[in-house]
This record gives sequence, structure tokens and C-alpha cells, in this order.
Amino acid sequence: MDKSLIRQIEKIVGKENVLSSREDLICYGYDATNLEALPDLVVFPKAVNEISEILKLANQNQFPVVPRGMGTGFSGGSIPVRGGVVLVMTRFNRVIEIDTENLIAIVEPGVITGDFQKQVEKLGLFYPPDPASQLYCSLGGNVAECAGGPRAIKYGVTKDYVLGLEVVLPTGEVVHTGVKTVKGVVGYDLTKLFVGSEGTLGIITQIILKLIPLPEARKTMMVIFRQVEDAATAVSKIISSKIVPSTLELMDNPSIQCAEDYLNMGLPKDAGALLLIEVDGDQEILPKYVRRIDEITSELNRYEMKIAENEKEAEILWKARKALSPASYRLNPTKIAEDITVPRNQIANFIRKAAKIAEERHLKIINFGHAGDGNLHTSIMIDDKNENERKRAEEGIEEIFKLTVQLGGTLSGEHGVGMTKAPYIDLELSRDAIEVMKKIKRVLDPNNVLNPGKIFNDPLTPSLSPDGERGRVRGKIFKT
Amino acid sequence: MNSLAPLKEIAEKCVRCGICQSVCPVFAEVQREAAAARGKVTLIRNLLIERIGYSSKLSTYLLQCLGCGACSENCPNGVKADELILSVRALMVEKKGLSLPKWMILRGIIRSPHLLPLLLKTGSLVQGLLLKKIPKESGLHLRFSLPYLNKGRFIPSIKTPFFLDRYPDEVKGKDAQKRIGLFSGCSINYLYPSIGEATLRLLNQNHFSAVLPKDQTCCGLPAYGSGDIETAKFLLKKNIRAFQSLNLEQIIVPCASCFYFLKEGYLKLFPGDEEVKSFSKKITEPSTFFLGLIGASPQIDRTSDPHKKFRVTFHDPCHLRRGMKIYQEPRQLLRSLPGVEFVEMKEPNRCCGMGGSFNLIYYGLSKKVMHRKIDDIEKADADYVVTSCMGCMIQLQDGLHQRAAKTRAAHLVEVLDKTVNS
Repeated sequence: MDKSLIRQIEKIVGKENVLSSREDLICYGYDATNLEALPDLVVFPKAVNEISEILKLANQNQFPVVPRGMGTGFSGGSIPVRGGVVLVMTRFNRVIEIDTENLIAIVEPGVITGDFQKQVEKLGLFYPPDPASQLYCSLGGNVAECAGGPRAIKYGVTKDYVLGLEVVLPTGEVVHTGVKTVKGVVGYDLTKLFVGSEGTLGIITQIILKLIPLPEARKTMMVIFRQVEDAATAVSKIISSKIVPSTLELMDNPSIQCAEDYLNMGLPKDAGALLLIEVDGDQEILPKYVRRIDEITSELNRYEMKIAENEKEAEILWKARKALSPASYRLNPTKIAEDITVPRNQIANFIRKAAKIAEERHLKIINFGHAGDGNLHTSIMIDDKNENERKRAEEGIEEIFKLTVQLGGTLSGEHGVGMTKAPYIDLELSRDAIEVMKKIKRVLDPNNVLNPGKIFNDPLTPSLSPDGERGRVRGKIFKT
Repeated sequence: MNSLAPLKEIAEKCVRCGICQSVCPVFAEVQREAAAARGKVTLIRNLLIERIGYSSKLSTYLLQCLGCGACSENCPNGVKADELILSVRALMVEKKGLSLPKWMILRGIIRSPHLLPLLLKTGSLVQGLLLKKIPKESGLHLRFSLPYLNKGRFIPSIKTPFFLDRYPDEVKGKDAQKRIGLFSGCSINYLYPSIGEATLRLLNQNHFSAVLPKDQTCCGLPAYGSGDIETAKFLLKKNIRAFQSLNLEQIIVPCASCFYFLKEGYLKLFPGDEEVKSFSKKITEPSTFFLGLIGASPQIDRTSDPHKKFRVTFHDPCHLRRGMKIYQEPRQLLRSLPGVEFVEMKEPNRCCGMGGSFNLIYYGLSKKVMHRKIDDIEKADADYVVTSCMGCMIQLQDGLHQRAAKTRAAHLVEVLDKTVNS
């Protein structure tokens, strides 16, 4: 990047808020995937007009601008794959207002999700979206990727809580979308357009969030089944019996084995699957829910049911699920983590077929995740250094994506497309649908300066295989 | 290059999830990637594949770590980032050498048997000129800034005669059967002799003779932390020589950081060495040692005792809690003392921000970390914040003094001594 350009940016945000050493650039070229790319500059803006001015410069001088929250994404959304400026939004870290009468909050995008949740919970309010990284991810990133989490089954995902936004458009104009009210139908719903747009359509500088009353109590239980089908049937039956658990997590047999080898907590290693279930609501109603779940699952082929009597016992039940991340690395050093989502009643079918796809290619696969909403974290564990295995994994993943779409599902429930799924979106979306999306992108960002190389399978986005075939970009260093 | 393979392996285990950022006390203040483990490990990974060199920027970032170990403790993939950082600091020293002030201190002063005492004796004579006495806290308040020392901060005064010079090689306890070595460490010897004296009294009262070999020296942790492995090894050998032939039952180390280094660090410097192993076995610290003596069971809890004299809270030294997994012992001990009411502060295991030389190089940052600690201490509303690491003591005293807080910092053995002997 040209020295005079750097000086202009320094003038906008102040010299101390611009980093350009190689060491610093390296530190802002990654997220929680194992992708890396080097930006040309890292900038920490503090005000909306600073962002506007930088975007205007970007359009004049044709350099990419990549917004970044805490860099905990799982699809490469904040990776500066074509260099340019990484715009780190962490200084936008104020909770501007919590309105307990209208049950809304106005926040800046750099606020840590978990900190915000603690703050509203002190007031008896609740902001439910709970991505696994909630203690260290930011609300802006959550909105940009439309993050989900275990509670989605009952409470929905980030987009269900975003009422309005302040957004700096790729060309520098500032727009306010949405409302501060529950209702609002004036004009197109631009708020929904920006939520989940993965930093390609605008830079979020303020968020109006909906809050709900905090449920009074919670009850945690674990049911272990002999067959994965029984667990899947349990999921359907629980929901059709009009109980909506706040969490309904599933672990398949390989996941159980993995966790048990790691923790030795006494899980039966031949169990087909287990469900970790939480119900919440008024204190009085919870025993009724628990009884009903007990009745439903006892009619199925279950090993046992454990009910946590207190917080501490609940924590023990969660342990197996939470240990999966480190435990899975015992199978192999590299994880290809997906977040496919299928209709709830296809879960067992999906797990069986995905296991077969993996088996045929001698791959290690585990399935766990948010069974209640059909969102599974299908993870293939490979040794990244084994070229052959990596190739087989790429094939396997593509087959799994095809299977997902066949079953009426979607490639990504909550991580976003970013770079990792860009080569595959045409498996799910029609040519015409992709064209509509590209048109929207072109209208808002005519010079393609904002987060280029994401979502669409762009020929300029490097692919994993050197010959340019459709392949994943995982594990590659793009620009040095 | 083969020696780098194990480092590479640790570095590659990091999947950059970012959880370390939620527990890193330095990241909480700096809010930059290079502050937390994820950034540092990525930089190390890039260093090991030679995408960056041993630059001064890298050195700065690697030094900007308190070594508190919170990242390693919370890492879902078990990446020992704190140890990795220490290893690369050592590589850095191997390639680039030590900075001049560090070289003078570590290679010149600390290694010499005479230079440090001589300098400190001179210091004790002139300290009054630069510093204002604070009799109550038995420390000094800087009248103006000095290199590495900011105006207004509290520093403990040099106390002469030094602790080890006050006693013969062996102080016999009444009807003593067993002989226990006492490792004073620099802080107790030069700055806090009263803590050494309290330890000695407690040993003697419990029918132990205290053995104080005069040629014991610095434990070596400051050198190790700065990547100066050579000096650390030199000091290790000297200490082992000083204690080895004395036929001691155990060696008690009042300072938690010295304790950690003598017990664990020495094993890392000479893995498999029998002499080092047998030395390490004898090393103990006050909470384990005295709890063993009184045989206090977890059931003993005097917190509801109606005749409370004072209220205490405990700050966990990182080297004790994360390094040695000792955190219940000091609490049990405090709870079992007559007249002592024990309360827990918020996040008692959060680092105080001292981090050895971190405090000198990055005092501003160290102070920010410290103030969060002092907030939590003040909220606990205790008469004493008890700890057992001399680094933490110095830091907490500085923080409490600057806030004019009512809570005072005290070492565990002082509280023990006070309740038993008053």
C-alpha cells in the first residue's frame, strides 16, 4: 500500500490506531478457521465518519476494506484474502442504552456478546443467541454472520433479535435501517438484508436489539440411547408433544466415544447417541416438562436418563458436550468443521448416510450439535499434512453437502459462507438466485471494495487445488 | 532445526478459537491480538517457519506477557502458550543476546556473590534521598521518577542488616528433632526480613531447627523469565550446592514464585538429573507445610467464630495456583486460624500484574492490571489481603498505597505468626 495513502488513513483515525508492521499484519490475518492472509494495513476506527472517509478513499484508490470484530468466525469472513485494510471494530464497544420499558438495547458492534448478556441479565432481561464463542466474540460479528447457538431451537438466532441497524455503506454513506418498535413495515426490510451479509454490503456501527424477559429457572438432563434413530425419534416426539426445550443437543456414537476416551466419565461407548436437553421457564412448570420427556424417552430404546438436581450437576452433564472440541483432536490434528442443517426428521438419516460417505473414503467423522433445530456440526478429522487424505476429505465434504441439499437442508446453519463454503453455494442456490444476490452487491458496492472474495465463488478467490478446480481454501496461506 | 520441532508441535495445536482473549489480563487492557496467546502463538508459528525473524517488535510482544498461565489453563486444546513463550524468549536471547540493562543485572550483578549485597547496602544508605519514608507500611514512596521507576509508586525499602546476616547458619528450635532448610530468596533477604523471621519463629516453635545456608542465592526465575537460561542454570547449581550436603528434612520456601521455580523449574532445566530431582523433592512452601503440622481437616472452619479480630482474603499467586495447583491449602489454613474471618474476593486467581520484570518494563500496563485487582480487593472489604508470593506482595502494596486503601497486604506466614504469637 502506497505511503501517502497510509498517511491519509493515519490522519483520519490517528497514527496510534494504525498498524503496519509485518508482525501486526500477521496478527490480523486469521480467524478461527485455519485460513490466513496478510492485510496491508490494520485500522482501529472509533467514529462513524472515520469509517465513511476510509471507504471513500477505498473507492477512489481501489483497495479492499475488510471489517473484523473479534476474529472468532468459522468461515473466513474476516480474512483479508485480497489484502487491503482490515477495519477492526473493537473500539466501538459501548452499550449505549438498555431500555427496560420497551425491552430494547442499543449497542455498538464491538461489545462482547457474553458481557452484554451478563449486563441485561442483571436487569432480569435476556438476549438469547449463544454461539459457542459468546464469551469472546462480538455482537457486530454475530450480526454480520447471523450467529446461532444451542438456544436457537426455542429462541431463534441473531436475526430474530435485530430490530434496526446503523450501517456505513461501501461507498461511504450512512444509513439507518429498521425500527425501535416490535412492528414496522415501511419500505424493504433492509435490516434483514444486512444481517448475515458477512461484511460484504456494509459496516455495522450500531445495533438495536430486542430483549425478552429472563426465564426464571432451567433444568438440565441427559438421555442416552442405544440407536441414533431412537435419539432422532425422541427429538421429534418431544417437539410434537408441544414442549420446546431451550437446548436439545445431540452427540452421535463416535462423539460419545471421543468424549469418553478423553474424560472417563462413564458414558457407554456402544451407545448410538445421546441427547443433552434443557428446559426453561417458570419454576412450577419445569417438573412437568421433565416428567413428560422421561415418559417419551422411556418408550424408546434408551440406556438411561440423568437429571441434574442443581447447577453443579448440570455442569457435569455439559462436560461431555463441551469436551468435544479438544477431545476430537485426539482423532487427528485437523478438523474440517461444518454446520450443515437438515430438517429435524432427517437427522438420523443424515448421520447414517454421512457415516457411510466417510467410511467409503476411510475418513474419521463425528456428528454433534443442535439436533433440536437440525443443525449438526459434522466434523471430519484429518491429518492436514497427508495430501491424499485431504483430497479424500474434500470429496467427502462435497458429497455431504449434496446429501444435505437432497434432504432439504442448507450448507450452513450459523457459520456463514465466507471463504470456506463459497465454492459450493451453487449446490444449494439456483443460478438466478445467485445472480440476484450479485446484483444487490453490485448496486451497493460498485467497485467491490468491501470484503471482496467472500460468499460468491469468485474466480479471483484462490482455491485449494493449485489447478483451479473447485476445491476448498482451507489451510492455505494466500498472500505473503 | 530439530530442537524447534517440539515448539512447532505446541504452536500448531492452537486452532485460534480466541478463548484466551477472554481470560488474558494483558489483552483486557491492550485489546490487540498480539497481547493474547492466540496472537503470540501465531507469531511464534511464523517465526518457526521463518516468515518473520527475531525482530525487536517480536521481542516486545513476547515480553508483553505476565506469564500468569490463564491462557493455558483455559485452552480447550491444551496449548501451553505460557511455556511456549518462555521457550521462545530463550531462543531470542540465544540469537540476539540480552538487552544491556538485563545483561548487567542478570550476568553481572545477580551472579556475583558480593556485588548485589554491596549495591544494596549502598542503596540502603542513599534511599532516603530519593524516597520518602512511609513508616506504617515500612516502605518508600518515590519523590521523583527514575529510569524504570515512576514517581509516586511504593517500593519496599532495603532493610539492613540483611535477613541472612542476622542469624547463624542454624537456629535451633526447642527440643528440635528435625532440621528444615529455609530458602529466603532475594525479596525476603533484602526487603522483607520480617517475613523470614516469622517463618523462622514458626519453625522453631514447632520444634524444628531452621538451617540458613549463607551461600544460597537468587532462585533464578527472573533470569529464566528473561530467556537467560545460562544464568538460571548457574544459580540453580549454586543453590543446590548450598543445601545439598546439609542433610535436611525439607526446605521451606516462603515465596511462591521461588518455590515454583525451585520445585518445578529446576526439573525443567535439568530433566532427569537425579541431584536436581532429590533437591526438588525436599522443596515445600508454608501453606502445605504448616497445614500438614496442624493437621487441619477441611471440616475445621472458624469463620463463624464470634470473636473475630480481623478479616482476610487471599490472593492466589499464579505460580502457586496455576503452576503448582495449590489453592485450597492456604484457604484451609486461614479458615482454621482463631480470630480470623476469611472472605473470598472476586476472581482471586486473577493475576496482580507484577510478572517480574514486566512490572519494570511495562509499568503503565502492569498498573492497569493491578488496579482491577485492587478494585476486587477493596470490594472484599478485608483488613488484610493475604498472599504468599513476594512479587505479588510488592505489587499489592504499591496498589493499596496509591489508593490509600484500608486493606493491607500481608504474607501468609505473617498472619500465621500474628495469630499464634499475639
